[in-house]
Amino acid sequence: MPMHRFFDPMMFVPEVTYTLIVVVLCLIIYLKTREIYDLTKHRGIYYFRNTFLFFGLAYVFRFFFYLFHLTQMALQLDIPRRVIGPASLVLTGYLSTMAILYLVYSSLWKRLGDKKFLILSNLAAAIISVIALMTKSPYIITIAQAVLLAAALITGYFLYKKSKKFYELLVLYLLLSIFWITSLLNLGQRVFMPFELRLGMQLISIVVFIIIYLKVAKWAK
Amino acid sequence: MKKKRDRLGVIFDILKIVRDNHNSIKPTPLLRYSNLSSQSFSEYYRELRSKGFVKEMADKKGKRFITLTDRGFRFLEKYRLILGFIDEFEL
Repeated sequence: MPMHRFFDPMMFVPEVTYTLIVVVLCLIIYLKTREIYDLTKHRGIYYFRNTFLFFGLAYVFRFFFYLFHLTQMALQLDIPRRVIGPASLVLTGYLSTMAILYLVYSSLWKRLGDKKFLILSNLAAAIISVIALMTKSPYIITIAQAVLLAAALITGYFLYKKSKKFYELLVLYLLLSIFWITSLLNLGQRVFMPFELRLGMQLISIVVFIIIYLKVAKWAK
Repeated sequence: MKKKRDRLGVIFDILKIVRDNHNSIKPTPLLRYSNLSSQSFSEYYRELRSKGFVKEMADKKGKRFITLTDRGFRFLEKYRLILGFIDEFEL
């Protein structure tokens, strides 16, 4: 028999804290890079800073989806479920897919060109969101994003075979995406990992965001 | 072999030439010092004006000269940081 999530109110505090810290870090990164982008209109900077706008928003809507489950299963509050739950799921899927694609593309755009990227990325994000809406499950988003990430990594490997710096970035971006994907897994009905492990992953995820923030802060003063 | 300048490098060079000439230079010497073809220079010059990095003024005799705007000075000031940022994230 599958083990179902038990919504311990004690889990709520780490979840709120985690979401708040990540969203604030994403917002700071987005705002700190505004002047640099404004002065240069550089495509790479555009993709990079929008990654964090999308990630920040995705974490907000992920939290709404979490709240939706929490109120449904623990508090029995009367909220318009037919709207809030699916809408949060669709927006989480769309924004996070865009964030992952923009993140990878911020480094690959020079080699691949960016004429059709906007159309293709929006299309991929929209398809994933619609499938997630139809299945009413975040799992489809995790699978689709894992596939996209794998494809992006393979492309990056072949395009930047000789760049040591790119590999360092790739590790950072990979961790960022993996932590996002595992955070989505924890939104479903089944319990995929114990509370302690989940908390540990959230802490490491925050460390990754802080490392990126510090790298940004070094240059975007 | 000298590395080919990228777009930001060219913009930096043009703005630096204007600044180093007491923030006042005529279009013809600017074209000469920028080491660009006249067609490339025209494209960059249009871009610099549309982005508000430089402005064109005229003296009492009606002769045109180019000066940096605050935004142009800001670009020069931030250029090293911008390059560092682009390099840091392989953008």
